Amino acid sequence: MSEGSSVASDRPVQVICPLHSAGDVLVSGLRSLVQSAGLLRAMTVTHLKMRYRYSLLGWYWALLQPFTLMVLYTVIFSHLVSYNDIAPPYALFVFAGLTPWAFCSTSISTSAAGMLNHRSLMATVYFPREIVPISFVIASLVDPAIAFVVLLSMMSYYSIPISMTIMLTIPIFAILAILVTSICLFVSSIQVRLRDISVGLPLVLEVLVFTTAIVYPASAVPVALQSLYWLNPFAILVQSFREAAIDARIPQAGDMLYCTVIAVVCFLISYLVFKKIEPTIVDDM
Amino acid sequence: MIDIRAEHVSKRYLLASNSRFANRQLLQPARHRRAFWALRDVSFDVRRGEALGIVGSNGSGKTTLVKLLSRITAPSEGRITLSGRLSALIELGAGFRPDLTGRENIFLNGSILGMTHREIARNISSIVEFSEIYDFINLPVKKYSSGMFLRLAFSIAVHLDADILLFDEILAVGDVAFQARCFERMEKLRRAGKTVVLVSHDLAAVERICDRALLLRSGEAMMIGEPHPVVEHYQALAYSALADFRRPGGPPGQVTCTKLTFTGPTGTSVRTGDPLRCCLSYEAREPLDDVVVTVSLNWPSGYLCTQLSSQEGLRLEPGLGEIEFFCSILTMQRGLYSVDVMIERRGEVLDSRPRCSLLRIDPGKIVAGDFYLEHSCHIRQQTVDR
Repeated sequence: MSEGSSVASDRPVQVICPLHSAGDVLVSGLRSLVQSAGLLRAMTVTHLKMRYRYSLLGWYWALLQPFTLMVLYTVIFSHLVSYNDIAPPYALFVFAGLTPWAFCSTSISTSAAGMLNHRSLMATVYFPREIVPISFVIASLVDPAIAFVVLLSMMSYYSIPISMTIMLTIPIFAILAILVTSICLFVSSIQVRLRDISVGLPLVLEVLVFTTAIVYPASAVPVALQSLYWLNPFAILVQSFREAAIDARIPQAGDMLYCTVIAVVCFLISYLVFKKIEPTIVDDM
Repeated sequence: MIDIRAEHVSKRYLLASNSRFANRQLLQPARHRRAFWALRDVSFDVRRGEALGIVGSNGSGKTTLVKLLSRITAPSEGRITLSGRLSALIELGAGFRPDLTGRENIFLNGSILGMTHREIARNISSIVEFSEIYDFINLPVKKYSSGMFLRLAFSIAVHLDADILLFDEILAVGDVAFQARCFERMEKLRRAGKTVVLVSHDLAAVERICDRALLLRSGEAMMIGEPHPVVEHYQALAYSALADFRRPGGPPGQVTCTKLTFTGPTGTSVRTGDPLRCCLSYEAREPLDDVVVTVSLNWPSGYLCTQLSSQEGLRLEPGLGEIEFFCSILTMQRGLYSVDVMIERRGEVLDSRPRCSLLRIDPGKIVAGDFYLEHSCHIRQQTVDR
């Protein structure tokens, strides 16, 4: 190579080399993610189009799934365990808990599987790989949106007044989405090398659903475990969502701050882990 | 102006060193794993508007290099600097979802390849038109024939607005008409001043399209320069690897082939339409009657293209000798043919040398189709009295 000639710089120059510092990874990664917004959109739309294509019930499944679970839990818990004494009707209580939870479990399970489903694509085209898990998270946002409509109609059925605090479910959902995205990024990057994830994940989700106050009220948690219990950001977010939606209660600022910090820190860590694995992720697929 | 600069690029794959870890790579520490260098210290530059061909045998690192250039996987060492937007066409239609319609796939695939939603929306009618899919565009692509699938994928690729284009073996798929369109498109890109990197086993295409060629061998850059000498060098290498006349073809028998040469009218260059002379040297250890000698010429795909045969039984005397085949007009098309030699007597194989040589035919009389048909053309006009 001659000394005089250099790489032309009138066009955007990119350097492909093995190592970056954490700061570089974060900045360049987020920038390329913004540049790939179109791809993120196309992939999300594809997931949504593909989800119920060729199924008879189509998008009614999005209603049927949380609805069936709600009926199931109502039958089990209100009649066998008898939580009938709590303030809102149990069916509504469960449904309000299931709405954010369905989003978490759908995004985590679809994005973990989606990474491997996109193997052949990743082996032939480059695009920021985090688009795959993130697009699954965004596509999963449709389920709570549908469930929310059902929730509102249930509230009017039980003649529970809809208060302005319902608007607070949006920032609560935003925090939840960041937290879920970070889990999805982490799980999908590790999953490529350790397939144990796909086997163990349903189990972990099952454990999470019962350690978060979704099917039982938080007051049922033994007093000795209460402080430990409220360390779980999922428990806080699900509880806050439910309170804001059906109890017209404003969540505590401290709780929200705690969850935001946890979510952002988790996101940064898992994004860096993902970006660390990303350059050679195809080699292990 | 340099658009692509690769500096000391290496790619190492770590393999599990024993079968116990084969399925659990992560559990074995990196230093215990066996390193395999798919690319080793490769450096080159590609100037703006230049076309670089990359040639080499299977496993020489071509695909790895393409994957590094297109960022599919990262180099283990060294750096690559790119100026401008790069689009890599590695496998046409790789991002197609069978259940989506053609139109939906255009949007998905286009954005995967780096087009914005607006660009796609602007180009969609042109993409559909170029692909010649027409009414089928609203059917799921799983219902498409492989030709339609390919045309749609190629049509999307053609509408990419990239500065640097990377083609990996896309000429290998598709029929003659498709290849012709690929070539036409590539010429157009060249004229538009795009930088092109072409990886191909079609050496004639590399010579025709590229300004320079890079020869890879076992992951190392062996030669870079004018396409013709690089291709020649590569063919000589392939020839030496294949043309193994020392390898005994069965038990040391009554007769052995020692050398095979092909010559055209002007020396070793052989062209379509020219006469061809083929000389086979042999050594016989005893007098042999009724011998039939065949030289088979195979397509690059391995199928038999045609044969030269001595037909009626020859008589070979002990000692060294030569059998000469002469074709007055070579009708085979340009390309690289592998050669088998066989000496038989009454159904018994005396010597057999599969893939013992290569015949390279350069473009001469250029015609479309599988072979050149020797012909002439006359015109007879009827004069009309006014």
